[in-house]
Amino acid sequence: MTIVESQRPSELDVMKDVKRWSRRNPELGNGPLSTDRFISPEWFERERTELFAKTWINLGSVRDLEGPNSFFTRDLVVLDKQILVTMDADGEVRSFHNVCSHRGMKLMWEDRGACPRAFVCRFHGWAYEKDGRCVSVPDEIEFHFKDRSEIGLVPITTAVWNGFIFVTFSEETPDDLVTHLGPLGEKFESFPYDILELDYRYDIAERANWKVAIDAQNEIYHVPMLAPVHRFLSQGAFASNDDGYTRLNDFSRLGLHTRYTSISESYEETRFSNAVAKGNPAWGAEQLLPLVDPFEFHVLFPNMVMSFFGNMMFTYNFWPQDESNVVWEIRLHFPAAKTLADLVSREFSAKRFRDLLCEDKSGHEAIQRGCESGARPYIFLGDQEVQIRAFHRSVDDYLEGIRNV
Amino acid sequence: MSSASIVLPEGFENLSQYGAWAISRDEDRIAKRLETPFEEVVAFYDAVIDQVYEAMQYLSTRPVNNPSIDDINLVNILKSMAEIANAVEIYHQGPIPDAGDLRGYVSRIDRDLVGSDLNE
Ligand code: FES
Ligand SMILES: [Fe+2]
Repeated sequence: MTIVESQRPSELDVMKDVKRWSRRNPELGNGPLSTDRFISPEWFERERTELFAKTWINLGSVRDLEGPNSFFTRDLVVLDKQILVTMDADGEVRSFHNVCSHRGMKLMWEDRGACPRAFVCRFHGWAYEKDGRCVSVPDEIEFHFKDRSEIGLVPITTAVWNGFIFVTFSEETPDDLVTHLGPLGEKFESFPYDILELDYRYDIAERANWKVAIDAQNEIYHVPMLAPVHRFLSQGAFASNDDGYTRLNDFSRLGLHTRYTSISESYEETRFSNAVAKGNPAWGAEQLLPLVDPFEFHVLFPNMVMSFFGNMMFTYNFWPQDESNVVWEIRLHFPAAKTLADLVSREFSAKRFRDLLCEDKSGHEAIQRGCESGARPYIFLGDQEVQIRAFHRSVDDYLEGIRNV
Repeated sequence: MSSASIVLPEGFENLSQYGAWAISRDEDRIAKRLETPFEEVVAFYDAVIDQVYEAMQYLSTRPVNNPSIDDINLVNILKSMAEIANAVEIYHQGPIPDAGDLRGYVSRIDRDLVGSDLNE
């Protein structure tokens, strides 16, 4: 284990009601965390073989498809897999290795699109249906296979939950997706995801370990300090104490996943923000707020985030490239715009948020360099970072073969 | 992107000289934020800010489907305001200090008002 030297809570802590989350979750310990996990190629190799190769992985949602009869492709570098996701005319989602059965050519080269009449390999023209069946082989009479059922695309175990598309490459019988999602899945079982559109997507390559990037997003302790838009939002977009330090209103472990909330307080917005909000009151946070807390952040184990901020839902997928590189996929979802003013309100929410995340990027990369420097073998986590501790515990347990925390 | 004067809805004609900011694509709005001398960015902000509230009230009466060209121009001017608002109000400069390059933050989904458009 990498968690060492937990300290006992003192009587003073209890009296002042500080270090509350660690006291409520003593199983997480409170010692420092080793930095190997962010920099070691061996550690990364274990994550590939013991974590990503065995768990469920979110590839996005049906909103990434253009509707029935469409597809998208993904290059899953962490497992050296190329994936073709299809939706047929009936809305059934399937995924396959994006690999032609003939000689192994990458089948579809486009990122996404409407399904062509058939998926045709550009090398020799073998053609496949949306359900993976091979439907045409040029000069077939010269081949030796018995029948075409031997040469369909190789399917990947796929499950769809509330429109979110998950795959697993586990060779053992994996937990089903509902079991994997556990209490988090139950909590959002009837959330009306269908009122949300996917409106913005950013793919950000960073020179940072995937967990460095997740951790830096998975806390609000940095908000009053890091950078200008962060500091601006620390005036009230999150709960804070009298000293101006951000506070979690709630934290819980949901199986392998984590959740924390921080409830906004009122604060002085900028002139533009006020004019946009007051001129278009119909585009209010109340569109989603009755359903979730105003700022609610979930790490959906292992590499996805689902979070609610005002009337935006944002999701992140952190795609490890190697131990020190990640692609951070960011998707912003909003309720459908009804008026032209809604388009402007939505645009401003997205731009404010984008600038915030752009401020974060250089931090992620600087943390990685700091860990790689070997200056210290450990990092420290405070009580307001308990959710990071819980995430790493889930990773550690999974690598050790411990399931269903 | 046009630099000429543009048509705008009644009551907003005084902004017609800001055609250069009626930009339909995300990538081009980011470039405009970064490439325009910052005093000009501030001048654009100052010219528009007092009408944002009225413009939003007006646009909240206009459904998203089949917008007219003058409504599209007004929306695109306000989208440019959304792009530069943090620059003027918070950063006091065009680029974000000590951060990633904004040009890497072009949305891969970019629906402009005259048609749906994917940056892929
Ligand atoms: S490799 Fe695809 S048809 Fe030959
Ligand atoms: Fe941040």
